Amino acid sequence: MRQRGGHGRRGSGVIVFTVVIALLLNLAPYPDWMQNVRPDWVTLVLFYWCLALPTRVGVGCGWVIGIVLDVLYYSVLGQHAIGKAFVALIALIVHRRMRMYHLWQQCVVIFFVASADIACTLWIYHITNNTEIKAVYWLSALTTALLWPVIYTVLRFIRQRIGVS
Amino acid sequence: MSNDRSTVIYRFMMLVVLSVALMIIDHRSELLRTVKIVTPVINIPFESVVGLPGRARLFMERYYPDNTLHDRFAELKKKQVVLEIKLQQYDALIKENRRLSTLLSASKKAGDEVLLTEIIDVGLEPFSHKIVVNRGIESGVYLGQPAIAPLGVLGQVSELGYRRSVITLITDSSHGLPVQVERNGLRTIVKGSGSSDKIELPFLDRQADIQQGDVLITSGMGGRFPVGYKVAEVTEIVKDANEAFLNITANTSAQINFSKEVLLVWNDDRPGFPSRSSMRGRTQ
Repeated sequence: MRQRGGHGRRGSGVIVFTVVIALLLNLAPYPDWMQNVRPDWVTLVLFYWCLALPTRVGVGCGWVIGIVLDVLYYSVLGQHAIGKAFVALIALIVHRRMRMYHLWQQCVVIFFVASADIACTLWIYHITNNTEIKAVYWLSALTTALLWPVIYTVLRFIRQRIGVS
Repeated sequence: MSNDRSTVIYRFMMLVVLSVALMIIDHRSELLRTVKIVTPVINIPFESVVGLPGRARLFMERYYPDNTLHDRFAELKKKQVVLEIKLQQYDALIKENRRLSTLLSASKKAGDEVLLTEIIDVGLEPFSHKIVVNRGIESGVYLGQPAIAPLGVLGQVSELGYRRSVITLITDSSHGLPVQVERNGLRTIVKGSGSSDKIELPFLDRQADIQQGDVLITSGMGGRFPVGYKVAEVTEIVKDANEAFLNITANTSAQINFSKEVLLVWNDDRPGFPSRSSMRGRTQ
């Protein structure tokens, strides 16, 4: 148990590091024309780690990441947390099936998961801030889905190199 | 295996309940306000890393200036001369105003107290009409404080933290602002439309005296915003015979994408609100 713990800690560092990078990419300022198509890097990274290590990364991790995102976005605490916990939940439910799928089929799953995440976040924002809900906000789910193969390949390379298990 | 799945779903449900409780506490009460003042401790390192490319560009521009920079410099120099001339007039006006005020024994000040803040270069979600600036509770910034860009009203402070505050823009659909038409003093309220540079005037009836190109300025009603700052220019008036009210849209004057600086204004007209100096005294 102790040995596994020591090994796990090294792996945890890698997971935290990739999540921090994803948070930074989420926060990075984009040019105006890209505002509505900004991909959600955090969803992608969270989904990957849930698929790869379903016993270690789960809804709790997703929720904590969501709370951090709430703090970074200055939004109501809990707004992103529900969405990210949901992303983790779906990843845990489908992680066996996902291994059978082609990358492009996985992209479709990611698209629906990211859409649900956006719907959730936007709905809460709508309740608290009375904002208008527009279809263009879901464009970012599309870019998120298109980036999945890249994230998948990069994170798998990192995971195999460092041996996170 | 199904047992495993049900525990995950159960855990998820518990987290949803927890989040909803957290959101209600955060949105409806003041309990988490002190927590939110401390949280920028996390934001500041993230925002400084994210802002690095922008800073690098500024650095490059400073040490490898190109022609556009020279042009801009010349342009700004010209502009400054014009402004200086106008300022002389303004000084005279302030003196006159002060004289007249003392004659009328009114307590109104000619100029408002302001604080220059810098917009933090950070990408919030596209649907939130908010910006973040680099001053917060330590500078005596208060909730609901008016924020003004060089060309017009920008919004008001909606969240306070240490060295950070969030400004909700007037274009946010939850934002309302009392204004008057500069031409004839007609008073109304503008509402944010949710698009990046437009606001709406939903409360004017069909007989109202308003035209395209009318400039809207703050009316000072409600006491939150000081009087006389430019807000927007009416661009479109739609008269629908079936509706009692006009459908009016206006373009905001403050060009958010072009300004890097925001002025926070201390509005001392606000009844019963401590002025900046007393706020400072309390925080130190």
